[in-house]
Amino acid sequence: MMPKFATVLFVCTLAVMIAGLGWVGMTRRSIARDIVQLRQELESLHKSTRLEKTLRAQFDSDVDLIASVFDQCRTADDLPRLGGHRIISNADNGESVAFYVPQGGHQLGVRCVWKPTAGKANSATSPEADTATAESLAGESTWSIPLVAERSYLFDRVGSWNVVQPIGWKLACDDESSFPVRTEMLPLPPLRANGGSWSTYRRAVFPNQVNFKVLGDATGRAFIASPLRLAEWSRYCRIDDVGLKIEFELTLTSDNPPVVSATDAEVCLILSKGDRLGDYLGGGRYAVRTH
Amino acid sequence: MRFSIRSLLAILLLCAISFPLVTGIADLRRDEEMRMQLRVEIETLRERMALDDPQRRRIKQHQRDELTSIRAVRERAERQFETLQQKYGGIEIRGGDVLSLRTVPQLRRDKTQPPVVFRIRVPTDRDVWLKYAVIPAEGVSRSPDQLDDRQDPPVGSGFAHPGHYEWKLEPGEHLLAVETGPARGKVLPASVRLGDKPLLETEFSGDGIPSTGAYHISGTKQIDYPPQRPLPWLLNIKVDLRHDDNSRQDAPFDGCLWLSDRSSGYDPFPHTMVDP
Repeated sequence: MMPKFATVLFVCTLAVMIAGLGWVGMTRRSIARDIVQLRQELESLHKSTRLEKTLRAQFDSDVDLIASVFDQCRTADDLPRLGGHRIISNADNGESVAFYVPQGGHQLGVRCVWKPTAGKANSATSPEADTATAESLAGESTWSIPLVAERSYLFDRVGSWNVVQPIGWKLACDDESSFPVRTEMLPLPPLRANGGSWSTYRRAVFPNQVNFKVLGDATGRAFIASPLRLAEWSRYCRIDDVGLKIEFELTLTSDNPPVVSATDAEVCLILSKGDRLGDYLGGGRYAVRTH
Repeated sequence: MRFSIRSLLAILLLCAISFPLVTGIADLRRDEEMRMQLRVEIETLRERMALDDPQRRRIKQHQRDELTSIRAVRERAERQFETLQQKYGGIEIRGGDVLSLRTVPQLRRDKTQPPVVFRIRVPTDRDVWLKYAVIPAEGVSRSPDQLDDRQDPPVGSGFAHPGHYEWKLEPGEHLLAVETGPARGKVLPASVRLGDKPLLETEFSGDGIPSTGAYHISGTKQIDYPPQRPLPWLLNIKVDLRHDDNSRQDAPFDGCLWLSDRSSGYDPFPHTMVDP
């Protein structure tokens, strides 16, 4: 006896539905396992990202702390000999600059420029005499001082800005036997400052470190790294009723080939400038192909 | 149309099975979407972290060297700071009736303001009182003689503890630390500790985000106070308030700490009473 069509349909439908239920259950179990694995992978990736962020925050915090130690140094003897591959400097009070230079040849460039500022003319003298005085008060002095590597230095003004006295600067090293104190005076009459301005400079960079932007701008041509600016500040004074502005600029020139940090090296790769990257030099530095 | 009981049961059975099947398929689609979403997220992150590019992956490892290589440098700097703390934070005994004080250098860590720490040597032959009062920020002399005569703490100064308090310091060397901040919203915590012992744990709250700077006697070198020299004012907790429109304003009252040869009859510091 042949089964009825309805019975066949029922049995088939039932079989398909049960099979469907089984497939849905198995597939969901398989997806659930995938989801667990993917979540674990995602969490591990997030962990790596967080670690990277923490490392960068810790780096900034370490540099701040080193600068804070520099702030506490009152004489060159107090300066820590830091070691490492970086130039580290701190200038945040417009009076003194503490810095460390690592292995290699380094020269400190000191540039002082003084020029009259626009001010009220002295009523007791003629305008011509004022102009002549003002012109005679314009000038510039520069020095280039070879430094001993792996030492810390303190650059400071000579004397006080608050009393009338000759103006000069002093460079002292944490190890006086290898680098005697160097003092230089500006060819200006004794004077007293009545104001000033400065910017905070805090450096923790490899000698001749260039960034990805410099590499990008130098595409297809040779280049050399610019000197590193350690500090700049100005003082305002008066001599015979003529206002005078004295500008100081400290730069550091190193003789090693340019390098790029690993952070900038990655940006170079992203910007398709990876052909500029040379060998890895250790400590997070890459050599740069300069041409 | 007529249904037999058997047909009805069959339909009911199919319906009963189709219900979990339909919900199962819906859940399956939801799970599938979640899996896709996770895969996309992972792919984006892997791309950002350059995990599939061996060259960038190598550079990423070198970035760790770049960032961690400063640690050894920081440790050397910290060791040197310990030497400086001893060099510039110690005091020499000048006699049985001379009070000496000096500020002990402190490091700024994680952009927070370090505490102001005084090393105070109290002589054996002299009574020395540490005092605290909340005083108007303007128009009040910092001369301890005049501060000693202050009575009636101000009302509504913003400081949770208006004072006035005093504590007789034992002969010997003490470390007095005053710590302010960091601000928690509109509340600025402040504490005064003598060695391990808290003397005062207070807070300032006002109409604005408070911040404060170190405003204290300069003790970069040892200062000595023989009997004929009046004992000094030490420190003011000055509060600067930043309003919603970014304007700044000094709080009208300061917390003031000073030393004195005599008692003013003030209450003891509140936390000295809690401690046994």
